[in-house]
Amino acid sequence: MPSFTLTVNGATHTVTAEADSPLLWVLRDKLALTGTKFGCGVGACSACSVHIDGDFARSCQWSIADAAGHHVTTIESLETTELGRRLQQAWIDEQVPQCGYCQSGQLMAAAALLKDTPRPTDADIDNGMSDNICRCATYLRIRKAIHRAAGNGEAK
Amino acid sequence: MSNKNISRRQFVTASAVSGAALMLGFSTLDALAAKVAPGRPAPDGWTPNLWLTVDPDGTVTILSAKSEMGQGVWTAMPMIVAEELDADWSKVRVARAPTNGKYNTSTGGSQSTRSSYMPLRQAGATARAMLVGAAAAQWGVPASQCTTAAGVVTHAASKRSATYGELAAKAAAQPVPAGDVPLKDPSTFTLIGRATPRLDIPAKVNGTAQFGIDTRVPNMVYASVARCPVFGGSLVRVDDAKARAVAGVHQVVKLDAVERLLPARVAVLAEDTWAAMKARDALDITWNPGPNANYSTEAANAGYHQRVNDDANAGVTASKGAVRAAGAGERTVEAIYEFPLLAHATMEPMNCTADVRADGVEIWAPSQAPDSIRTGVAKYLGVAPDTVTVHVTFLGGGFGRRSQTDYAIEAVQLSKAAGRPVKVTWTREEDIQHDFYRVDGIQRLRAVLDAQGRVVSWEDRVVGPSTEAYAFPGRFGNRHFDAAARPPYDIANYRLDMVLVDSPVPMWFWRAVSNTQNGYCMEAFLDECAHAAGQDPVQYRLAMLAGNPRAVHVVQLAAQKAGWGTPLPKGQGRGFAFYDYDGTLVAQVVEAEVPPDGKVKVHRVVCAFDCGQMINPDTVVAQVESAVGWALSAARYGEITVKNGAVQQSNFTDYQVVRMNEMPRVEVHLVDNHEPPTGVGEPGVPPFAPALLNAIFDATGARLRRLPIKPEMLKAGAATD
Repeated sequence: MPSFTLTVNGATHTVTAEADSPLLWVLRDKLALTGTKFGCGVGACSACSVHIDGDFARSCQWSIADAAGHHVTTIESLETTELGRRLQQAWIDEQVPQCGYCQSGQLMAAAALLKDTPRPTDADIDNGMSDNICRCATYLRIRKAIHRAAGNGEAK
Repeated sequence: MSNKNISRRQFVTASAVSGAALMLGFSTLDALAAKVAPGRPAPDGWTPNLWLTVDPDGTVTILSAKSEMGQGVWTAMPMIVAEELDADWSKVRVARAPTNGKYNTSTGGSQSTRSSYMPLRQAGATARAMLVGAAAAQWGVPASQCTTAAGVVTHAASKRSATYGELAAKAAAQPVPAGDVPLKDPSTFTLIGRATPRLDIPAKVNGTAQFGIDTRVPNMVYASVARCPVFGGSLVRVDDAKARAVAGVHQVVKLDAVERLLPARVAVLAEDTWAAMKARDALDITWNPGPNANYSTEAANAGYHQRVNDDANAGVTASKGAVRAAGAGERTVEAIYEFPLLAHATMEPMNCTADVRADGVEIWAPSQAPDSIRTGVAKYLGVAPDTVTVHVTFLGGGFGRRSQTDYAIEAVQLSKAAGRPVKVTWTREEDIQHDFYRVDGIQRLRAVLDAQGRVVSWEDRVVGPSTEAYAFPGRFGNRHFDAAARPPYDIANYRLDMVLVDSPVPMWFWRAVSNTQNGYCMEAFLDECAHAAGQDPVQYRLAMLAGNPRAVHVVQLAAQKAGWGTPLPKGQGRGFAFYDYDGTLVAQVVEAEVPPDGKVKVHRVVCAFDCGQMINPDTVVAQVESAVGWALSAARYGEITVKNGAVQQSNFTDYQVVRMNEMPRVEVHLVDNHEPPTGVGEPGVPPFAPALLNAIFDATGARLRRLPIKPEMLKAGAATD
């Protein structure tokens, strides 16, 4: 199997994997970063959301060959940024998670949204977050938490 | 589901004293377990269910035997104990009780709080009494003069106080109070009924919460499984040459079907999940589709309609008075409602990790029923249950699916074959195509309205399969989970019966179980009756709930908060539904819009909710929000179809669920009282679909009697009745 080098949460890793192996499974199985979740495998639910070079990405749709050489950020390092901490605190303040399984992906999607749109409207949030499925339907609280993290006060 | 047979009796035993810690064991009976296995004598009725430990440093650790799947038991259970204990909440910790047969670990049916409420209060109160006893003995004062608060016993007159941690060792030596200890007056509660941040949430915002799929054990290999797509089929042959050529593949394992649990399969074991999945896809398999090769839900549905008049085979499941035909001045309303198979589609796909060793079996499972896994695995392997250890992780959604044991038996089969630990992870496609589904079927409802429009005779016939008949053949006689519900209204004569139809489709509990189809059929049909009678649907219900003040209150509260009767914009409608979910009373008003393209949009849901004493009100609100989103997914999209014996849907692309842009505003109005607590997780589901259908009728005049609601049913020009 070939080797690939990539940066994950600031650390450089060289992994041996099939070239078509999705980044998702490299993160979970080879790097033991299990906060990134498997939901559908076809890019339909966004439970596997991470950031690649700072942008939102579905890790089930990126092969390790494509991800090599890039900077990958996962839920495990969300707390290293001020925005990430604000989002996590907002998630706690609004008591967002229920089962919690999709929330890593929700938080990573929200962080990407606020990076590009620091003061989003409801419509911005709906547009930015509707790729992410939550089977517990915590959507209303996610929207409130994003507004809170953005400093929007009550939902617009 | 009923808990009417659950005795309130409980006992408390001081069954172990360990070091300086005071430990109490106590018991409860879980209603779902009782329902699944009726006739089983409750073995002494009671098995210890939870342990409470007070450490010398004042930390109070409460073991929860109930699985946390988003419904908040991880917080609600300790809140109940801490209330009566007068614990310092900041020092309360929760931990998972072991799966050893001594606890009732079954989590489902919205039963955890209602069945645990009194035993947990007794446990807290008993511990408190022993701590007070220890302080009183130490100080030489009457216990009755001591008070407790926030983990401290105080004797005000002598200005002495001691923490629970300081008193724990002495409390352990106190006699256990005989009989029940007096409990608090609920009006004095300081923790129960107060919105309390959930204890599991911090780990769910940073990736550290451990779900089943996150399990990693030394020497583990990863499995992916090809499953016979046709229910009841078998393996003819497999060519695994290409699969074995995939780098990292260890082994290919053929597995026979396990009756009513698992299909015929071929599994690949590999170094990592991706290698296993890739090799699985490279298997060249020939299946024998078997006896269900021609089964389809379309034909099954037609068959249900053909048997709707099969009186000779209709087993009565409940009745009152004598149903009758319309007399002079009366009229009959009749309609048939149809409902589809539904998948659970938990966000965390099915998975399990097992390690079968000579000295015992260890299993890591996101399970609602770990004791069923323990006993099921023991039976399967022919070993003693005591040699099977089940570790329960967080559950990435349960909704009833994870009360099954199939995924755990499979992991055990594979670990046994591999001789090492195996984690098996299902793909989403397997999860949707090899679920145990909510039943499909039809209900024919027939009501006789008297001259005033009031229902005087009510018949509800179910035609379709039954979860129990599938899962527990021959054990239930005429009782069925999927029987119609007794109307919660004052109706003098009713008869509920069922024409049971065999089906090869695996079936199981699905959030709210039969209440989903029953709420839909009953409350949509009642709306038809109200309109036939020319009466307002809310007033119509109120007239038939006159003897039930709590129900009247819930109905009025929802109607008032929603502005029932006030005008809505053109193209929008308002619908009402009420449901009594085993004592939890729920009324919902749905505001919906039907645009010309027929894609119904729900704008607002107002819900009044009375579940008796609330433990954590914010969790109640969250569960209602969740129930609305869950029920909207089912009403708008939910449909599993079978063709040529195989499920046609495969992923979130064709088994859709609602996303944020479709989620309506949800306003929850909780009724605050101290009645015995009832369920919370499921009751918000049943009234939603009928309220939505009634709103569509209000908006368009179209009376839909089939789910899900497809745009073509409502497009401009579509036939409306």
